[in-house]
Amino acid sequence: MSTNSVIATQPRSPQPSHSPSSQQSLPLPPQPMPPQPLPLPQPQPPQQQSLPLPAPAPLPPSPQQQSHLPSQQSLPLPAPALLPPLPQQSLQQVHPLPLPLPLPQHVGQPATAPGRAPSARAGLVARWLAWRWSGWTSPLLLLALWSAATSLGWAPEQILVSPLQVLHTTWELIESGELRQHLEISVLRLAGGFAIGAVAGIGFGLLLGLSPGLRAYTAPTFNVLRQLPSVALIPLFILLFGIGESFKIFIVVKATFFIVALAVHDAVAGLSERYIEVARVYGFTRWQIVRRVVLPGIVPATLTGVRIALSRSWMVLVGAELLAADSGLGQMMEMARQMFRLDIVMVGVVLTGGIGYALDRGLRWLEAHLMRWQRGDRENT
Amino acid sequence: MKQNIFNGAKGLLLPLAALAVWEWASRQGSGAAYVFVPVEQLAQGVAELLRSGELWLHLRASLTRTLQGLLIGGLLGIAVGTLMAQSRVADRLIGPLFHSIRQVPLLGLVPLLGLWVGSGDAAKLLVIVIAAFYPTVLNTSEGMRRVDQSYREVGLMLTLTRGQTFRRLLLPAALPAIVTGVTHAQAFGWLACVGGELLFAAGPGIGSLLVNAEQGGRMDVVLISVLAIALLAQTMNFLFQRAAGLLVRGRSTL
Repeated sequence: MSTNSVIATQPRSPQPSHSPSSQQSLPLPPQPMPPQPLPLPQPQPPQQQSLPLPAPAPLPPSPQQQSHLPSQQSLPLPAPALLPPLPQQSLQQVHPLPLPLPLPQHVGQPATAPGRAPSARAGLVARWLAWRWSGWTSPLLLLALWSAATSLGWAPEQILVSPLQVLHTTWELIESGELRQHLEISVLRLAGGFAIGAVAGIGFGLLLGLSPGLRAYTAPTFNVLRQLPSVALIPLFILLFGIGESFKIFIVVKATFFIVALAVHDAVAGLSERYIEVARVYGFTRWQIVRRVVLPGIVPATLTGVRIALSRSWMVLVGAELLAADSGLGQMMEMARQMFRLDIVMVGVVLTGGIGYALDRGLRWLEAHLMRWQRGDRENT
Repeated sequence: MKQNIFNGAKGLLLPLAALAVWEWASRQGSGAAYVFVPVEQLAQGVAELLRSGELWLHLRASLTRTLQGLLIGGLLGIAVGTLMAQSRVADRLIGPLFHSIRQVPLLGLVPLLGLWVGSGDAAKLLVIVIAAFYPTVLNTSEGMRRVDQSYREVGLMLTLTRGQTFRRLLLPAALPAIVTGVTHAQAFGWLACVGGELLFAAGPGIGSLLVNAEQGGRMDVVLISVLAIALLAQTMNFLFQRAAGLLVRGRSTL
């Protein structure tokens, strides 16, 4: 009770800042204090008592405040460490100004609010939070739990294989060259389909944005086809192109093309008309306008579209390989699933995740790299 | 006005040409007709599917599944997102795991889920739950982190409990972001539902219908399923955006 009620008094002290006539005030260090000797250990006990027993306190809480009392106990404030000594004198001073509240310091971290032994635990938690490697805590905990679960045999082997086994399998797959083969074919499919789709998408998006005539003819068809989800198109493409390589390339092309084309078209449509007018004033030819005004102007939006398209088409390709393929990461996982080889499936999951992450990171880096001039520009102005 | 009609006619030209090529291709021998189903057979296929109620059966199974997954994943996502925004400890613990697992393409997780929970309804539901979970967590935590500091201070002054702070203060303030997250979750969840049903093809579901039709060489059924999936995606998107608009009406987006 004792610590809790101290905690509870803390947020209440600012209350008077609503009503200027109120007499309460927060402890302000630079206040001109009356030179009375301040009995430091004393001031807190009377304050604490003023909460449950409103009568003898210098400032009886209003009934409205009292109604909150039960709830105050759970208020998440790591108080005692932060509580400045409350000299009683300061409470009597009139301080009508808006008060610089000490609150924001601990507002952001309610969960670190300690229950019993606040300062020690709060200090530990704060130090852990400030630690550089604290982000590794939960993955390592998970790994430890995983190892424990497998070595103690908590789950059957079809459901959980040990991390060591997964590492071992990875090594085996690398040794036999199997992994490289699957990886190569998957990446090749992605690269081929993505290159075709992105180039075609940029070209078509540009034309669509620049030529109202083409737009009139193709926009409705484009918009309808765009709505067909790539994942749902996998079976259709299998029927159209067979289960060979072409179907996987085409599904990646489809996934890439529409996203990129739409991004480029929107970017062209969003270009400020003024740039083009200025270019016309300079007597640029149509080709010059495209090359020197439009193309540089759409780079950011195009790169974003390309990045989204890449991660989307990677997912679609993995799905297509899961569904129908004779090689590739997806097929490796699907085969392993049918043979209950959880370790191989896990290797595949980690690899697909890693590849997706690397592709996304790479394009983000490219984006930042190509956009350097813009950032520099902004800094200059 | 006349210009509009003219433009509309221009837009119809390409689909009509495609249809003509399709029809022409379907008459080039039986091998081609296997893929390029004649138009009248397509129409017959639609009529048959509708009359037998088969299409409706599969669609209903998929829709229920998607909504269930959306509900579970969305609620979980809001809870975890709130936790991550409110507690730095939780953020530091959950964040790394969440962001690394999120890198795995959703369909890439399917074999693992298949091994863990089998290939029945539970697995299909789980795919949707995961799909709905990611965007909700991201948007909820982002929205809650952006809640103005002064609101929190007011909450502290009023000595709100955690529950009250969440219900009265954080939830309303972060609502636009959460709604955005749920809208994304819905779009992604529908795709995940179809993808999951493609890969776990047993049982009812529009994805299962699609993949079974593909294996049976029924191009008409495949086409109709794809169209139904796309149409439903659009409809659900529209409805959710309408609902979202009503829910956050008059609120400024943060």
